Amino acid sequence: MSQPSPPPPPPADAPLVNPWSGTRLAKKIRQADAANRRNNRDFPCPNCGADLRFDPGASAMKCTHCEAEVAVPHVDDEAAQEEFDLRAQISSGVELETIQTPSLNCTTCGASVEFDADEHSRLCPFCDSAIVADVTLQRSIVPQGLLPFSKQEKEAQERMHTWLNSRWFAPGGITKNAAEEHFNGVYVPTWTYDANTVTDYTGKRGRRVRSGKTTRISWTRVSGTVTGSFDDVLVSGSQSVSVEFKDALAPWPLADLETYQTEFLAGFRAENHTMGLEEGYAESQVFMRAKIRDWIKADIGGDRQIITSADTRFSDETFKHILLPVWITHYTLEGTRYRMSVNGQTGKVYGQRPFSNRKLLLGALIGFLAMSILGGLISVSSGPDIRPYIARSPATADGNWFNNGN
Amino acid sequence: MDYPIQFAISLLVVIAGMVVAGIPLLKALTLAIEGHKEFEGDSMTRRQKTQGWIGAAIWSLVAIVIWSFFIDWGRAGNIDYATDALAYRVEKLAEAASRS
Repeated sequence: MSQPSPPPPPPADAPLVNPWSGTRLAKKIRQADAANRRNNRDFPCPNCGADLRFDPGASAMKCTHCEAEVAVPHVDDEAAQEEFDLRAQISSGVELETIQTPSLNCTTCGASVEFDADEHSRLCPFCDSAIVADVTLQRSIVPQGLLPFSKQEKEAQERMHTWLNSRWFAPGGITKNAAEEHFNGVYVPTWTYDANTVTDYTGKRGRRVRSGKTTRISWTRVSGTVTGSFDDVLVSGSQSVSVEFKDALAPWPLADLETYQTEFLAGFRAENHTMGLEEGYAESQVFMRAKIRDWIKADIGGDRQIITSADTRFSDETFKHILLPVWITHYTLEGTRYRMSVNGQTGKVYGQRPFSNRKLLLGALIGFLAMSILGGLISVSSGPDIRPYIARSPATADGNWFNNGN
Repeated sequence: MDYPIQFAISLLVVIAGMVVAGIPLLKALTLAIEGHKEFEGDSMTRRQKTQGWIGAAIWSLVAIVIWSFFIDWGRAGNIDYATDALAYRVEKLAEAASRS
């Protein structure tokens, strides 16, 4: 049996032609390859080959081994601040650009967090529960910008200690327990929305009218229009972050947004969004409508206000998709885990805090005993007023309730 | 004093009851004060913001009325006087509440 002869080699100067290059499969492979390059979080040190990590506050990456610094390439920040037309985006039906990232879904808090497949520790940074699921590739919207971490982990720890020390009625060993815990640096996906609003309303204005000893409310029908603008209403793109968490860590200096570059993420985790653009906008409108109600009440004036109807028209709605930096840790006290978060830009702290029942008991006891002073003053000062009111006979033989005659 | 043992026991029971009732109120008041200082947005509801203060105010008022009762009882040595004085004060408070 004769072997098939190999094809003749191409001439040395002939251009290399890949017969697959025009196919759809090849296009998909190229797209995936480009996405992988964009999403590459591995930055080897040019000196020793060890991993580079973004160094908060330095705008550079630092080698974990030889401490060599590599500057993050400067990119124009305009892209980070660009506002996109919300209505055009929704009506176009075109999905926002996504990348595939290896991630784990926490079944406890619902967070979807990027994890490398070879990582052994699989604790959810948000709720600290063990994740038993396998790492899978998940689609994540590419953010246009981010606020890079500017506070080091050590500074976050110091801020947390100061915060814990300032808690009233906190248990004694609280800072000691928290000191042993490490922080996770996590970028939280966030939507920001802008809108102009015009609201026509009808309602009633109430004014207090005194007649003798009683006060009644006199109501007048009113109607009017209030206008207002909203700028950068933040809505968390993930369900793992509660509203209190977002507001308690505010304000976020969004003027310092940087254009998204994976260098900023080196050494940190990024959470995937679990809330879409439209869903996020619906949530931002809840906030906007609550504010509009305040504006209407201020516009109605008077002592009391009733809003009968409010018809709001939204226009010039725009959005941004960004990442916000948060240091997260958990500490244990008396068998309970408490979450602490520190704003990675400003260092503002928010956390779950325990109470010391012993201190609360003591506080309530001191408070109650302190009230005895006021109770005593009232008892002594109101004695003469009460005497005519009391129908029963005085206890003492001389006709006085009190032995000293008071 | 007419009922010294009853006086001591009831005072201790009332102190224990008021302290136990005061613990959750103190917690709510602490969270309201800390939240007021630290929360930037509107995430704290009006109820969360005010319930600590309202609870503390009601608890303080009740504590003052209770103390005035026991101090009246101790000073007069007679529970009838203290009971009538308590009824008088409660009536005045109810009048003031209805006026506002």
